[in-house]
Amino acid sequence: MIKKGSPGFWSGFGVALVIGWLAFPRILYRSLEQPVQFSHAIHTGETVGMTCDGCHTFSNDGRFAGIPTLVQCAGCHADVVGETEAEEHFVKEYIKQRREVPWHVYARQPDNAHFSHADHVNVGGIVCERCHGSHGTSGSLRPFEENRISGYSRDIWGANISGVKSNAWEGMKMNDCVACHNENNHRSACLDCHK
Amino acid sequence: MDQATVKQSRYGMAIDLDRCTGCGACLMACAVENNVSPGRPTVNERTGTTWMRVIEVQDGRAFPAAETAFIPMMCQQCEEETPCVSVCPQNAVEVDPETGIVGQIPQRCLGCRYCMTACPYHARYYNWWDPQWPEGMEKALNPDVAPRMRGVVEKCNFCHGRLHDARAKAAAKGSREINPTDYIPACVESCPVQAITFGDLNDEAADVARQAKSERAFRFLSRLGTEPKVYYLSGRSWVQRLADRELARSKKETVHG
Amino acid sequence: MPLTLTRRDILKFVGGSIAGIMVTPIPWKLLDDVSIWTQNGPWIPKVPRGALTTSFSTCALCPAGCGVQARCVNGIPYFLSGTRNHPVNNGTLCPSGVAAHHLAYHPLRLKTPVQVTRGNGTIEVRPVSLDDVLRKISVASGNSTGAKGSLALLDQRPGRTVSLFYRKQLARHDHGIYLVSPTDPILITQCLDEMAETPFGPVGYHLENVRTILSFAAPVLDGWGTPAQTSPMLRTRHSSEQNAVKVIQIDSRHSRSAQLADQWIPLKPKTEAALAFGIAHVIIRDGLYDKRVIGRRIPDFNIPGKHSYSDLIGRFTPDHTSELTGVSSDVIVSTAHSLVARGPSVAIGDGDSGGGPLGKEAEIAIWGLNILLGALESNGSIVQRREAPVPEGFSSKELSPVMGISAIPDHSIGLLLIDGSDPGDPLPWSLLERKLIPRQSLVVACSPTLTGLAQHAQYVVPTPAHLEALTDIPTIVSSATATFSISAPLLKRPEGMTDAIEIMAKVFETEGSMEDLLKQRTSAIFATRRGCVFKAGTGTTVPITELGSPDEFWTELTAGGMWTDDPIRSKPFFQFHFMGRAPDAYQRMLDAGEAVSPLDGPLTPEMLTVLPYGRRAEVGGAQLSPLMTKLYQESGLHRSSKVAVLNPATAKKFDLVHGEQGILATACGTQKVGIRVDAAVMPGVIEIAAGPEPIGQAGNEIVQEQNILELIDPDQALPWRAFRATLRKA
Repeated sequence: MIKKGSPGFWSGFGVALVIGWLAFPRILYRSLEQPVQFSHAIHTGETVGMTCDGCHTFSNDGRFAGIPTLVQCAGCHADVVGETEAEEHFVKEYIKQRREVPWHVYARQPDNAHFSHADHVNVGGIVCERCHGSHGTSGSLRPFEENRISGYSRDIWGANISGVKSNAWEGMKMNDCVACHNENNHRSACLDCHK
Repeated sequence: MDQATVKQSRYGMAIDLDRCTGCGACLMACAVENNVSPGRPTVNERTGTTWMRVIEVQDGRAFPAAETAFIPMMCQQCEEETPCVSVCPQNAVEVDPETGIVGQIPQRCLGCRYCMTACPYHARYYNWWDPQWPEGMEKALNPDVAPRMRGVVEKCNFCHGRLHDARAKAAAKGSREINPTDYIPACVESCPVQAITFGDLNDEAADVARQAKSERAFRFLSRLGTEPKVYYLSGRSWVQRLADRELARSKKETVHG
Repeated sequence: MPLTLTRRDILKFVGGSIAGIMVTPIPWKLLDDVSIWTQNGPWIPKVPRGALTTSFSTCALCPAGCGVQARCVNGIPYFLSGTRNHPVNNGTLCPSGVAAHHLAYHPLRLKTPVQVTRGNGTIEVRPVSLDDVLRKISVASGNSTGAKGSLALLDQRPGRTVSLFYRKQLARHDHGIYLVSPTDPILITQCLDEMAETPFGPVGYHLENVRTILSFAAPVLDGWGTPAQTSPMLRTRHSSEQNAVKVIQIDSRHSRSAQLADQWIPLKPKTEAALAFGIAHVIIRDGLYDKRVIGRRIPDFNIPGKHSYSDLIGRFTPDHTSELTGVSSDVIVSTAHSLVARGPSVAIGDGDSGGGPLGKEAEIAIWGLNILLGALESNGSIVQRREAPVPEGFSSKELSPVMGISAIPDHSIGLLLIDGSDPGDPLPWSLLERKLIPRQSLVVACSPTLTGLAQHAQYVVPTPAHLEALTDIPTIVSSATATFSISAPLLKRPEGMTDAIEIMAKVFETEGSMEDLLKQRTSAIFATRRGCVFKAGTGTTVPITELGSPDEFWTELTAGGMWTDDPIRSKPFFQFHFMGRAPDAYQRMLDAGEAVSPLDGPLTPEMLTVLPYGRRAEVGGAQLSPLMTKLYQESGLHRSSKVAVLNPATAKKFDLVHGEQGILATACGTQKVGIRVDAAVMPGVIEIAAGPEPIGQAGNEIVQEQNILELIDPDQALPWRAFRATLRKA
């Protein structure tokens, strides 16, 4: 029966695969350009030589500052110091106008998730790259992909739409957190990570 | 780090009913801290949401002899046979073995309200509406607590967001042991007469552990054997006798039908 | 094979597609995303993310002036607590204060000046420009200088530096009147001035020395004093400590202070003067007072051939007093005895704010009791207090006098300006309305929200909300020494907000800025080099001499600090007329003492006696956080202005049922109320809050407030503590 009906069935099957694997991810995610093109590579490279914690700091109470605020950037970029167009744009549009940059945060977790960087970095001894991959050496900021339904960043599910991951930094869903916690026999009560 | 190396705590409270004045500062601080939204115009004592509710009780005598006491009532953090945990079909409630805190996970909750029926203290609240704040007020929400959606149950969790903060603060110094003074729930912090003591009941030196052993101390409905971790203190015998009455029912359940 | 598309092919295609979809992420990923969507829907507000900081200021909601520590996210306060070690509140806050940072988001917040038209049960609000309002004021102000009536300014929070500014401007105006609520403590201390040979001036209390407090309906344990004064008393309730303060609450209502006091003496409404006389009678009869002091200090104690205080008191035997007040003669005698035995004692009048004033004669009777108890002697707890120093040009000679409503003739005000930016004591609108020239007067209110008296004004100018405004906090009535602190803004005010001082300055054709005024005041205080300064940041108190300059002083005050004056060492000698100095004093005091309580009034038996009440911070146009629905509607811990509470026996007699609705009616109108029974309430009375109803998520529609004080008959309103009304089933 399959053999007999194969052209109709398989063409339907094929179309579905194409839509499901190729078109669906493009429809599901809205692509947003970052307001400013930032190169981690330039800042952490040999010329400038900064480290992650130079900008992404902890405060005394263990809160992670996340993306630095304008004040920190203005420490060096009060005026244009480099030659790139992106920097010129940044200085003119944001620094001079004292406007915070509305960054799209790739790793943003939803409101009900509590994640303490201090716990993982200071106590757990996890390096940044374990979860953030090579983001710290990237030369430009890729477009931010926002899920049209949930509003989450694509980085939460992971770039691979199939959900298959081979590295910790490829996805940040709850399962990924739980997997690591279970492996290392860490806290596992719901409220440890939910708020 | 191994779980076994982490200190097991049993967080609990002792509330001195002879000090409580019924001012309601704890109730407000609780709602502010936990991002509970203001009530709709039609809200009443049955449909309202107050993780901490202060109940006014009288000794039953008539004017002018009537004496009043105020009982701050919230989740009693039952330790054994926790009624809400045992009935939840969703695994949305659990007792954290490390802290003894009964956690409610709104994302898992399907809103059957079985736990509300099971709770002898009527300390659980159902979100009859989506949370809503007057325009602009969402900017003044507590960043450490997520608002809940319509159709789920919520309750006191000893200001768990503050435990997160205390842990982060400890982690900043590279430690997993929090400093007890960093973890004080909002109601305890805001009580103008220091009627509420909070701390680790396992810690012999803690004030709360001492108070729980006081001869003035009692627990509500202790005959049910659920081992609540909230202790009440009173030297007044009529207040102590309330312990076996289902006083919460009288206010929350029957006032408006 | 010809390429024909049969129905079967299409079905196969669909079948193939469905099978294919199952091995794509579509169903599984959609299921995941949709479930997330239902949990964290975009309609649920997101919590703010950003830098956390801590700021300090001072709460301006009520006259206490508690130190406030604000935890902020992105500079916006999200959790308030009391400033540690602050002399006023020592780390505590009341429920209103805990949620005070929400007032900027009050649903009835005004964004532009508005014209208000009140219909029958409705309020219409039309935005107008500030210039329109100023033009209207200017026309009315022109009229009010002539024969067409006076210009009155109602200050809902007297004693502030801006109040001095108003009084100074009004003094220059030919027909200017500076008006305050009849329950304002200024008017109550004026009663002592009326007794003293030379003006006594502001009164202060040293409560830390006191062992017994006799409160005449004052909310002593619930907002009268500062939290630092009352918290220690509340902490030792029910304890057997010998030195614990004993509070005796004389109150017709089962008020919060009556619930918390060591002893509650309920009395028939409006018979406070009689009870004060009755207690004085026992003290004098049993010789429990210092005879030398009385002889020296009291000219009218015993004047042969004339009506004197001892004659007056002689009439109020325990039995007679018991008849008048409903308090048993045993209790009267034992109270008098314990006041003396368990000294030092102090009697506090004042009443509660929403309940209205006790009346001048009752206040004089209570001051008399204090003098008998020795509270004004050199070791007593009542002291003369200095005011915080004022800048040049603001001495009392240059200021318009403080007026109560009863001193103003009916139909005489042409222009009424209301500064309700910091609400305080209530003033029933019906009392105010009859002072206005009918149909020709203009009422303009300055208020952040359309609440309280602002609902009755024709025009309302929006002022910055609490924690957006710069304002000062004068000394609270219970303080023994002068204090001064500043409530500095923690939030940026939105466009279109105008400080009340700017409006008033335009009316008086002068310049005025809150900041300049407060800087002048702080400089004047600094110049005296007196007192000490509490620093909020460190929680320490240092002598003012340790600060280098007025600017440094200003910086400390605007960062949640507080200045406290040195106490006055010497106690000047005063003589007091126990009945006041008025020529008809004897008769007036006698009438006040012999007055029949409304509870015994010769009215029809279906009448009940209404006892309104309300705390200073929660009445008088107060603004409540939208979250206060928790305390009122959602838990019933505080009773709203729509709940009438009565004794079960009374309810039964009048066929009223707990939980049902009733209609409360007087000659002046009707109101719908919920009925609640409470065994502790006095039979025959209805307790009902004069306070506001918190507005939670009501949206932006205007809610017309219901206030029990609107049912008062203005002809016999003062004091409005108790009045007759009917309550029947709705």
